[in-house]
Amino acid sequence: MNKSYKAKTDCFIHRKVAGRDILVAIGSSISDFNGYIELNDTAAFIWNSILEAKTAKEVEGLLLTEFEIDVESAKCDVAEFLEMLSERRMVEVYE
Amino acid sequence: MSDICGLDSNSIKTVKGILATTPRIPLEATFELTVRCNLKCRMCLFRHDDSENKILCGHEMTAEQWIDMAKQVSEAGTLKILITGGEAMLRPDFCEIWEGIYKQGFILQLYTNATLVSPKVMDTLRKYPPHQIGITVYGASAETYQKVCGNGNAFERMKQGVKDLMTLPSQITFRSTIIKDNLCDLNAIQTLVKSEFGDYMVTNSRIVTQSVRGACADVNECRLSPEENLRVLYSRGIQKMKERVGDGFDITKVTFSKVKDDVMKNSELKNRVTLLGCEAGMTQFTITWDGKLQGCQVLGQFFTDALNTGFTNAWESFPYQIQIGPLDKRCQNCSLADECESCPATRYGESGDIQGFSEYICSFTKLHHGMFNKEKE
Repeated sequence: MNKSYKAKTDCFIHRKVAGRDILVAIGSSISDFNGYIELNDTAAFIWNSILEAKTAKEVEGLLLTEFEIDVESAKCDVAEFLEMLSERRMVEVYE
Repeated sequence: MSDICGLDSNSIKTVKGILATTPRIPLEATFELTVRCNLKCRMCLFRHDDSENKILCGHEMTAEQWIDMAKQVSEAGTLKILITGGEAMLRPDFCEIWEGIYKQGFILQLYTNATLVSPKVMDTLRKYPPHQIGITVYGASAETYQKVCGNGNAFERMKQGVKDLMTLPSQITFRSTIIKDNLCDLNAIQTLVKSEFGDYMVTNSRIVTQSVRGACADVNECRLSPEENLRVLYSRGIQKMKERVGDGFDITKVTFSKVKDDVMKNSELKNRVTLLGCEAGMTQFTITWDGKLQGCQVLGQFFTDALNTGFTNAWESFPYQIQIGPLDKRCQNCSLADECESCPATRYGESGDIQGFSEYICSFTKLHHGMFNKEKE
């Protein structure tokens, strides 16, 4: 519950291409994933939120401030995205 | 928008029509760091004579200029950059350029002959590994390397270079360009790659067009004849058939039938929806060693000055450099247009005119067409 997440910015560079947010894998991370992923607005916001380490709850709070969504949706979006990032080793996780 | 002087009104109308219907986004770049090379391949499209090296060096974009160009193309929306030459690693500042571009977050591809993979280069590429590396292998022996590249010692250096590059997490591909001097090594190159480096398929280029943009190679002496080209085209497939059928395989009993393409090519460029009938200048572009923006590396006829006017200006004014004349009479209404491998770049390479005629490509196309079982057409 108190885990915090920090984007691995030495492994992924956030860029805008043709108006879209993407994360490009660089460095040794390309052995796990050699390419890029496209982020929707919510994902891009969450990624930018965790440039400094934050807990899921802190990210939810920021999301609620930025977007007109309900608490449950914010919780789901954040949990889903952070889980995906963790599985793909795109974030540092601190217990 | 930059001036559009020099184009006739029909050309302007055509260009404006294309731009109104087909979006242009500079997604994929080729950065040609140099046209110099440490090898002297007989069929090279781009290498200039060594006597020009001093002049070339004096006008090559500096590392700072390349890194700044990368910043400009990044802001314009470029996702992928191919770093190539000549031989890019020949530049003493290759590592500085590579690192400066890499840190900006592109999908980076590197083309190389793998003969100049120094410890310093490996240190840089370990920290900043290419997403893809395309390695060209010219033969399966020092003897062939001597004949093709003028440097037999390059063969062993290539093998070591490839082994070093394969320690990187990069996706690796192998290519070869087949001419008369390495035709005998066609199968041996594939065997060499499989035995030394792993289960990779070598992609063979066989249509070698005349060298372009002031390059010095005279390919007429060394490129494959249309008949040899045909044999190379089907050699892999025929080899597979032989392996499956065994001793009973008889090439004279093989028939070929053609599957009609769903998409009809229009070699006349009349009804094109892109500037040149392909992605050149639409989603792809090249920045040459001296800072010109071209649609592709081969087609030097149309260009704008990215170095001095900035990338965005150069990109926006590029379409208005393109003036398309009438197609050569021999190609107009040609029944084999859909099978012909001509494009504006190959026509330009062969004849100096993007709508010009190539006897070489035409002969191959006719031969190829003749193979097919006419009853099934």
